[in-house]
Amino acid sequence: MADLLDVQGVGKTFGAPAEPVVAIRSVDLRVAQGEFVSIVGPSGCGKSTLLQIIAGLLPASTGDVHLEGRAVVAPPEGVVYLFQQYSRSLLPWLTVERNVSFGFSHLNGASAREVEERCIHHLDMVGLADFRKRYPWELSGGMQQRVAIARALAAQPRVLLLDEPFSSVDALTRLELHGLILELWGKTGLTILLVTHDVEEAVYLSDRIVLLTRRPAQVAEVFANALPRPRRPVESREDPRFLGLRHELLTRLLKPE
Amino acid sequence: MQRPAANTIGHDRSAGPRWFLRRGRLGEWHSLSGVALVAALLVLWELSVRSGAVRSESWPAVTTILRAIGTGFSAEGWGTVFGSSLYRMAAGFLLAALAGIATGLVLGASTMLSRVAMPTLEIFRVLPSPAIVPPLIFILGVDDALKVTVIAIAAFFPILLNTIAGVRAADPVHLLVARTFRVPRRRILLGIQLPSALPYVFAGCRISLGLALIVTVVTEMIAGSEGVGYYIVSMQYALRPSDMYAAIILLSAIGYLLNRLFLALERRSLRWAHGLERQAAHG
Repeated sequence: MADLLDVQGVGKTFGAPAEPVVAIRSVDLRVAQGEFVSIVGPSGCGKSTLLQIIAGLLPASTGDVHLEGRAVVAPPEGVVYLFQQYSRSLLPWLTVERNVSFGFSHLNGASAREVEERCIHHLDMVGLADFRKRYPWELSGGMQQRVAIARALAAQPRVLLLDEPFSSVDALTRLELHGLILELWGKTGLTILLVTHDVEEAVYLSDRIVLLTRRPAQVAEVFANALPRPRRPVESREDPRFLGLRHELLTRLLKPE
Repeated sequence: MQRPAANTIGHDRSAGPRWFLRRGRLGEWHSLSGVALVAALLVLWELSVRSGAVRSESWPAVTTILRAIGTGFSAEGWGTVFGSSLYRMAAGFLLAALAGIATGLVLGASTMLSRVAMPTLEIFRVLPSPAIVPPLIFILGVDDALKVTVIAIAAFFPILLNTIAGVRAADPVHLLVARTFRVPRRRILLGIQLPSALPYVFAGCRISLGLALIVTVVTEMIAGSEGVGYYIVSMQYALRPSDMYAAIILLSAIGYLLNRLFLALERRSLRWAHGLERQAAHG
């Protein structure tokens, strides 16, 4: 399969030229159409920075990102970034429904009715159609992140970039959101790139796992995930292939350098 | 979660008398105690005259003033006196709000433009309103055009500065969200930066509303032929203190009511900001 996303030698340096802070040394990464890839690394290794560069939200200092052969210099069409902090990413002055339409209503000349139907459809996909007239701050954390997911999907992206989207909800809600994301991924044929520091989450969800080194980040190793699909929240986590990969990744992450 | 908006709201709550909005027994008691102090002061005033402690033509009893207020309602009195003042004040305030919000949005969103414009605006901002009246008389005459302009200039700056601060206080995550969805610049301005600024805009408008009332009265005193400022000065010259105090008390009541109305409007418009505050408080 052809590569949808091609990251070549991407590096990022912050700070004054006299005292540069190298956040990312050089990262190469290819993601195929329809793949679910996770990027795992120690805290503060520059994972989110890398994802923002891929999203076109932040310029790279070196190297470049190509989406379907075109260089990414600004947020490209068909790529949506989902933020970790749902409570800050939703707009509190808009209802749930209006938050969802905020992501796409400017794109094409859809009628008010089409916009509404598309909102209802996507809110239905995340199980929140009944809450469309509510405000985000009236909902629980997990529900708010589901609204953010509906908003992302309603923009009909081909690539979804997830920046630790499950890390600020409680453990049980996190498992529910994992199931939801896998279900939506299966339905839509999306390509998903997930950044996380949660090894189990990465193994449970993805096809491949990219392990980054400590800052300045570079790719330590890429692991293929042999865990069969469909994944099941309880059984898959007891599978020897799950446990083996988890063991390997945790060992590598905890190893002093 | 740290929300800059919440600070403004919190500040407003402590700054404004809000007893009429509170609920619960303690709230009722507080509201009564607030009214009680006002009543006690008025009774003291009344006693100071009746007991003969203060004997002065220029210090009428409260009851005398209340009678003056009452007669003013029947004759063609307060309506004319306050009508023209309130009209000028409203016109000046609305102009200031429109100009202040529009300019504030643009300057808040563009660092380059604000660098160019702010020094000039600062020079005008520090001028006291009465100082610009004489030069403006040359240009605008002494009628409504002058007064409305002076009121608008005075009321413009708090709204402008607060709007700029509000636009800049927009959550950076919201702006990133807009970028990932490729939302056009104009929609970011009106759909994110303007609503983010609203709590600040309201705070600025409330300051400006008070300023507008002050400047209305001052301009009428300096260059007036009608209105409450002119009336107060005229009654003082005419040695009619009851009518003078009557106008001052009504002015205070009107200022209080306007502030109250504005707070109610703010509460309705910023339901989401109060909701966020509650969410933050409950974890």
